[in-house]
Amino acid sequence: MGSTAAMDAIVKFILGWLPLWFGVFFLGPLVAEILTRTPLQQFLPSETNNLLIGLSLYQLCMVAGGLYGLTAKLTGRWI
Amino acid sequence: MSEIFAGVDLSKASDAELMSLERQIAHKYMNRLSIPMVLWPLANIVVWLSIWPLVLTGTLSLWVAFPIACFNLLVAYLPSHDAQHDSYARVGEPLRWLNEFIGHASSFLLAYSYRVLRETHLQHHKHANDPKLDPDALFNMADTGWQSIKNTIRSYQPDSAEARSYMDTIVRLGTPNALLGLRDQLIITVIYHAVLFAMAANGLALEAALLWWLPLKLAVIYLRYYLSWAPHVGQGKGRYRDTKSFQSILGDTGTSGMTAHVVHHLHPRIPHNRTVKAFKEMLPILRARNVDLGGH
Repeated sequence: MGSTAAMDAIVKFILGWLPLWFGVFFLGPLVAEILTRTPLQQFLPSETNNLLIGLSLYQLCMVAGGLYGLTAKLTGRWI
Repeated sequence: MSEIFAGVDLSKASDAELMSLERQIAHKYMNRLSIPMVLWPLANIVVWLSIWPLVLTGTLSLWVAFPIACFNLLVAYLPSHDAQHDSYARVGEPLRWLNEFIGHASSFLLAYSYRVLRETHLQHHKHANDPKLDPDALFNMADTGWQSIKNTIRSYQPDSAEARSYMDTIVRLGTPNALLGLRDQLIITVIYHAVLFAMAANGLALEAALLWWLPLKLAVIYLRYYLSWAPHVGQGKGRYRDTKSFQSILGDTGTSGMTAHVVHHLHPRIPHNRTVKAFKEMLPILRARNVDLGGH
């Protein structure tokens, strides 16, 4: 019973915070790829590994995605 | 005019006679395995699975693969829908395994549990248009097509009533099958997100987005519009009142045969590819029943 309750808690935690994981691990990288793998890359600076406080473009996008996901989780809305 | 109507004056036919004629027509189209409906999901799944390695190896352009993936997901639901109604085979029949395989495999493309779809869809049939008991009713409460699309988009919000509609139904039912569906949905949700995250971690987020994530979102908007809203909007309750026919510039094919959805609600085990034909043959009876035929 104990292990079942623990499993339930883990599943609820993972799924309950799905918007946050989705923002960090998918939307963030997706935006980074849209910026770097499409013609939009011409608008990026030549150096993208150290853009802001030492973060790379990918890392910045993941942070932004995470904040967006956190907002979606807390407000219940993506848009 | 169907030979079944020979010598029958439908305007004077009793309720029982109309029902008998309706059943005779329905039986012509039921109880025979539909080979196209077997080939359809198998081909669809093979194509969708094939475009992944083709794109990842650079053999196929992602921008060519994207509309193919959209089409794959667009047509993935209907075979699952046939399986939900045991159209391929009922419990105890030799091909029951095929019914369940097609149901599970087709639903997986939509990142949905077949059991959840079946349990909720059967509730839709049982309580069509009931705002409390029909899990689709919330989506169909839209005066315009655009409002219907907005309802679907709202279901993508993490905490909307639309997003919870199916799971609320599953929890309300609480049957062993419903709970198995809940377990399946958990597993499928984890797999779906694991695929998206793993691909993103390997620099393939764009591929994951254009082969699964975005096609899924677009397909569900189409499916909700034509398979749910268009045949049910403005309808009431009752066997001949909960579904209507309609006409569309996209025709029968472009609307996934939903112009004949009324026949599906009357006889759900008719395989999807025979529904339009059955509808055309059944038209005199539907007129006698004063069904909303949308100009047919």
